This record gives sequence, C-alpha cells and structure tokens, in this order.
Amino acid sequence: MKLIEVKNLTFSYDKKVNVIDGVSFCVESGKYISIIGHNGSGKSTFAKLLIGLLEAQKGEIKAFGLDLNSENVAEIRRKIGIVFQNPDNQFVGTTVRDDIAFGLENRCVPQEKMDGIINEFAKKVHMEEFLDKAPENLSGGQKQRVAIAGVLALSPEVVIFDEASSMLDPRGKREVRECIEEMRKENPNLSILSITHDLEEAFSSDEIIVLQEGKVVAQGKPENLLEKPEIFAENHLDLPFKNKLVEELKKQGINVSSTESIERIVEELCQ
Amino acid sequence: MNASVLGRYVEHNTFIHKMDPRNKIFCLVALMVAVFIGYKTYEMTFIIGGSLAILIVSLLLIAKVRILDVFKSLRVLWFFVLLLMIINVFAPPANAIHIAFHIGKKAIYWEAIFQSLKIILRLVLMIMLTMLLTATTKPLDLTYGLEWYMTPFKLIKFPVHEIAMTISIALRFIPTLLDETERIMKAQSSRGVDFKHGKISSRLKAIVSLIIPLFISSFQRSEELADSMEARGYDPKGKRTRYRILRFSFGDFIGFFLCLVVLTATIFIKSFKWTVLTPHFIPWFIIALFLILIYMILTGLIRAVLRRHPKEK
Amino acid sequence: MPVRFDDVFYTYQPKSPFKSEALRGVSLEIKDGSFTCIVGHTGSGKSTLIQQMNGLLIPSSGTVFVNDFTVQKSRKSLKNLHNLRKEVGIVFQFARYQLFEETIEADVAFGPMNFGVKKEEALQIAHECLQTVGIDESLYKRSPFEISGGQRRRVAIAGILALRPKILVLDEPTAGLDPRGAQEILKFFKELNDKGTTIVLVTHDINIVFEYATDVIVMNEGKLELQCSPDALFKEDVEKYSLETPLIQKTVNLCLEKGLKIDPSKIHNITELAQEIARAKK
Repeated sequence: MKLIEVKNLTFSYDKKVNVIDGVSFCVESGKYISIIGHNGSGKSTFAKLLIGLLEAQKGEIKAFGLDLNSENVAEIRRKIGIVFQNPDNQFVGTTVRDDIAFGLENRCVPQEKMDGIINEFAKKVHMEEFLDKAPENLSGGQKQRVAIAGVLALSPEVVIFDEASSMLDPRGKREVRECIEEMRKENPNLSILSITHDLEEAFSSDEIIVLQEGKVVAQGKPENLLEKPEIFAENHLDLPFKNKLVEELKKQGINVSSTESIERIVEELCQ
Repeated sequence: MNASVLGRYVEHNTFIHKMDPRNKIFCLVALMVAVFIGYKTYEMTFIIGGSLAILIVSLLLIAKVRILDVFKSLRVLWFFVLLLMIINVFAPPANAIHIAFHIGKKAIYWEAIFQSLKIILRLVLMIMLTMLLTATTKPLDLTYGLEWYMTPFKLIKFPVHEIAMTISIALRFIPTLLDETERIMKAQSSRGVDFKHGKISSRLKAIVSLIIPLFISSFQRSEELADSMEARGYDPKGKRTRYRILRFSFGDFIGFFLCLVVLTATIFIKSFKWTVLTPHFIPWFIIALFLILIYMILTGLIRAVLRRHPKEK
Repeated sequence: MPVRFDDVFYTYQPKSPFKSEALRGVSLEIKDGSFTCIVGHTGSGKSTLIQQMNGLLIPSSGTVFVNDFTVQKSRKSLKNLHNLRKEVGIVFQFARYQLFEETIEADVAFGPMNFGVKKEEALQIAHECLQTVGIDESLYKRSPFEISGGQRRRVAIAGILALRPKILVLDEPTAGLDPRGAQEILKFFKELNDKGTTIVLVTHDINIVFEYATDVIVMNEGKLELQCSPDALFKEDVEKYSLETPLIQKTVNLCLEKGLKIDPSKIHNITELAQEIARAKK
C-alpha cells in the first residue's frame, strides 16, 4: 500500500538553483528506504518537504490519501514522525520524561494516560532509567533515542530519519541502528525513510535512492545498485567495506559471489 | 559552571521542597511584605525583624540550605552595606539626637546606625527568603507557578502559555549554551585570543569573537528547534493537554496558614496603638512563639545604649 | 622538538561533588614529524589530553613539555601560555565555533594578528593558507556564513594554519563528512605531515589509524593503555580497549585463521589486501 507518493517535486531556496529537481518516488507500507547522496545533494531539504516544513514550487506530495497542503499538513504530520540530525536542537523538555510528553501534549493525549505511554516507549529505547535526567547529562546517542521514543509514542505510520546518526560517535550510531532494527521487528508495517551518507546502513535497507544535485540518479534494491558501482564513487560515497573488497578482488581476477559479510567472503575464498 | 549560589536549585526531599510552587510564591510575597513593614520605633523594628529572622533561618534549616551558601549570597551585599553606612552616617535622619561616638569632629548618631542596621536587616532577610524559594523550587516549577498566577491575563489575550513555554525552553538551554560558550572560548583561545589580559580594545575584540559565533549558532538552534516542534504537532494557539499538573497537599495548607498568620500579625502590630515604647508591654502571642533570649538581647542592647548616651544639645 | 607528558593527572571541578578524574598518570611522548593518532572511547580522556598541549587546561599535577614550553600548575609557566598557542594549533570539532569576522580573509588573519603580526602581512598569510586548504580566491571577501559547512571547516583549518604551528592537533576532523570529504581532508593532513608538521589526530575511526598513522596512542578511562606503531597495535586484541578492529585487520585475521598464507606486513590498504589474497591463492 502506498503511503506517500511524490510526483515531480521541484524546490529551490533562491529561485535560481533547484535543490530538488523533478523527484518522483513512493513509500510503501513496511518498507525501509534509504536516501543517499553527497553533502549538498538535497537530502535534508527533501525531508523537510515531506513533512511540510518547506513548500515545493512544483510537483505534488500525497500522503495517506491526502494532498500535502496547508489544510492537511497537521493531519499528515500526525502520521509521520521525524528525527533530525542535531540531538540537542530537538530536545524540548527539561527532562527525558517531559520531552516525550511534549508530543503527547500537542496531540491532546489525556493526562492520565501520559505516564503509561512515556514509560512504555522509554523502555522500548532502553532509556527507562534516564527518565528524570536532563539533556545536558545525556550523550548524543541517548538524546537521539529519546527523540525516537517521542516520535514512536505518537504511533506514526512513517518515520523519517534525517541523518539522525551523523553527529554521533560510534557507540551512538550503533544505539540508533539497533533502535531502528528493533522498531522494524516490532512493527513490520512501519515504513522507515532514512536519509544518510552511511552506506553500511543504506545497504541494510530494502531500497536505496541515490540523489545527485536534486535528481534521482539511481533507485532500487542494494544488490541491483551494486551492478553499477561507479554510481557510488561519483557521488562521493564509499561502498561498505565488504562490497569494496569484492570489487578489489574482482580487479585481481577473483570472483566472489557472497557479499553478506566478511566472514562469508573469506570462507568462500578459502574453499 | 558556577552559577550564582543565590539562584541555584539544590535537590533535597524536605517539606519545603515538596510544597506546591504556587503556594511558595505566595508565602514568599507574604513574608517579604512582613519584612518590609515599618514600625514607629527602632525597638519594634528590631524585635519583629529579629523574630522574622529566626523564623526564616529556621525555614532555611528545614530546607537544608547550607549556611555557607547563605554567606556566599550575602557577600554580594558588602559594597552596598558600606555605601549605606556612609550615607546614613554622614546624612543622619532628622530626628537624630542620641550621639554614639565621634569620628574626628563629626558626630555619629545612634539613630543613623540603627537606620542602617534596619535596612541591612531587611536586605539580608530578603535575600534569605529569595534563596529559600530558589533553592527549594526547580526553575521549571517556578515557571509553572508564575504561569498559573498569570492565568487571568489570558482573558485579555495576553500570551501566557507562549511566555511560559519560552521561559521553560530557555531554562532547558542554559546549560547547553554555557557549554557552547566554553567551547567557543577554547577555540578562540587556541587562536591566540586572551580573554583575561590585554588592553581594552583587544579584550573587546575577544568578546566579539565569542558573542558572534554564539549568536549565530543560537539562531540556527532556534530555527531547528522550531522545525522540530512544528513537526511534532506543536500549535501554541491550539488545544493541548498538560503533563505536569500542580497539586496542593496538606503540607501546603500548613505553610500557607503560617505565612498568613505572620503577615497578619505584623500588619496588626503596626496598626496597634502603642503609647509606651517599652518592650515588656508586648505579651503578643506571635512574639511569644520565638526565642525570648534573642528578643531580650536585642532589646536589652538598644535600651542599654540609649541609657548610656543621653541627649546632647 | 616533541611533546612530552610526565605523569599528568587532571581532574575536572576538583572542589565540587561533580568532580571527575579525566587523566590519571599519563606519561607519553609525541615524536617530531610523526602522524600520531589518539584513539579511545568517548570519555577516555582524549579531548582533555590535547587541551593540555596548548595550555587550555593545566595539569592538576604533573608536567607537559612542549618544545621549550612547560605546562604545569605554577605561576611562571602560566605566563608563557599565550605563545604556546602559536606552536601547537588545535582545530576543534565544529568549525562554526571559530568563524566570526566579516570576511573570510579577515577571519583567517585574526589568528596571526593576535600574535602581533601586522594587518597586511596577516592578510598575505591568510591568502596563502586559504589557497592551501583549497578555498577559491573569489570567496576571500565573502562572509564566512555564506559558505557551506564543509568550506567553513576548511576556513577554520586555514585559520589555525595561519599561526604556522609546528604541531597541528585535530579533534575528529572527519566527523559528519561524507566519505570523499573525509578522504580529501585526511590526504591534506598527510601532505602537511610530509612537509614537516607534526600531526596529532584524535579520532574514533580506527580505519584512519590503520591507513595514516605512524604512531598510535590508546586512551582508556583516563589512562594511557598503549603507545606504539599501528602494526604493533593491530597485533593486539584492541577490543579490550573498547575499540573496534579495523575491517582490513579483521579480514587479515580471518584469512590467516582459515589458512590463507598472506603476509600482513605488505597490507596497508584494501587494494593491497586484494593483491595479497590473489597472490596467496596462486
């Protein structure tokens, strides 16, 4: 089922250069889609367009059967959650508890139900011990997990991650990745849109869309995109290590078929 | 980070900490008024003042406020105290007739000294009361309390909620901004900026190198925050529910009653018609609550002084 | 003229209940002309360590020697710290913290001018440094807030290079960069290193260590765990220091385990790894 449909979207900040140029694609229920591209390819602008923070000059966005316009935007935002890049600049509450409650307050959730929901979702992101902590005492990864809890607590159908782990240290990145995996397991119908330049992450998604100068230059399953590895180099992106290794081995005349993990590759090499 | 001790919340689980912030604001105001009520005679002022001091110090002890912190906050006053003493001593009140001692040719009057002491006492009590409030109340709770008091203004479309939200976000970001200031200072120090020494022009430049990045980053921060809040469905003018609700408890009624009694007592004492200005005609039931020892020492001191230095013409 | 740490301890907020010991008895030496990577988990003391090098922080006890400078808790040493910042240039993690002047060239010239260089000369140095980091001349008179994040990062580096430091310290210079951006900037530092600048690079990315470092310092919970060459490091089980094994190393270990006779000393990057595997299979 198509949750979000984007047709021929075009957007420009200064009316001169199109940051998003004729992009069309759709988000289906339960799919994990990665949008990748070099810095400045228009990725983050795209996220803001989807959630109605920016208005496109041309093209249309349809979400959950509604056209995205000023009348419907509030209704559409109820079903889309977004986690932004900077862990501090989306943390509104004075404590973890208050921040998760912020979204609930906006949605007029009855006060009696709030504590239950807050505890439930804090547990899902493993932050239940930190409920009364203030953001200055939390790491980046912890703050992002709180943001995720806040988003999930509103039961969205689509969650957008706008470079949510690019400002985090390796541990924080891992925490966010694990959160996403758990989210998918628990709610297979949830669609996830991840904007990133981390290809290790992109390669674990169902579909990859490559943005270059605001245009979609490649789209498809990760395996399919590997058939044209030049695309990644062109876009300043590095293939995940295991895929790079396979490429390099190919250059040496060795063909390896499995690319699941380094272990599998080595196993195959040593047969 | 060393925020002034005067404003800092210290986490404890005392009776006063648990009181509703709206009630605490009322009690603060009630006790402040009681402190500033003036009496006709110095004896009365010091008796009431002393009694209030004992009450307030007891409250500070209950709230587990450290005496050290109290002194640190009072340190702020020393300059003002000096100024006050100089003014009062060299421009004594009109009815000053009892001379204490002489500095050279200038006569120093007891009235002048008492006047200064009166003002100092009030200031000290005011600071202690404020400390009592801020040390026992989280800044956010204070905001909620003030928001409640501003409710009537909603009727004239005053943006009460928006102001409260702005304050609470500002409070949440203070530590973050302080961290950022430190980071910017380090980055600029690494470029040779000296924030502590040097001539005025270079120190001014140093401050500019700190303020501009801080401002720019704050603007960007607020934009990102607004985006995030909007995406989460925030509508200041729309309907929303509240997570944190303030509730009165039994302890609040005790505190409320106590402060109300103190306030009424002090007003009553002021309006009472005293004919004889001697302390032992005051079997006032409120006064009797406080330590008689302090009361006697204070009044005894004043009386002894007045008797030893008779009027001079 | 190296950097030497002599039993350095550092405690944050020693008099408050929030005190934390960030450095515990650290003794190390950073060799002249080396490309030293400092690695360790978050909170291991890496940032605290580098701030001792230019006197932003003074050891609670112990001494830091940098060229002719001594950094320790004494009045005499504190007076000289200003000039130390010319010798050791630190580029912190987020560029925007530094830029504030009206034009890019003025911002880069700001550093030298703080050390008494006259405006014209400072601007000339600024132009040189901006060229070195690859900022086009057309941007020199623009405001630093008009350019992209990646360009601002380079302007910030130029600002520190303008001080002509002998030792360049970088705190996570590749954080948030796309892979090509990261490669470019690391290559740039390598070039500087080849020309004689000592580079100290703090990073989480163990793969950078593998590819660029001549020396590695491993920090763990405020202590110096290890100081050695990358080859020696990867013979150890780095995971006990809360570090991840570089993927190349992981592959090499797996290959050796399975009996593939590759020679680790010939492998410094992924191309060489593939070559070695190809050779061993024949």
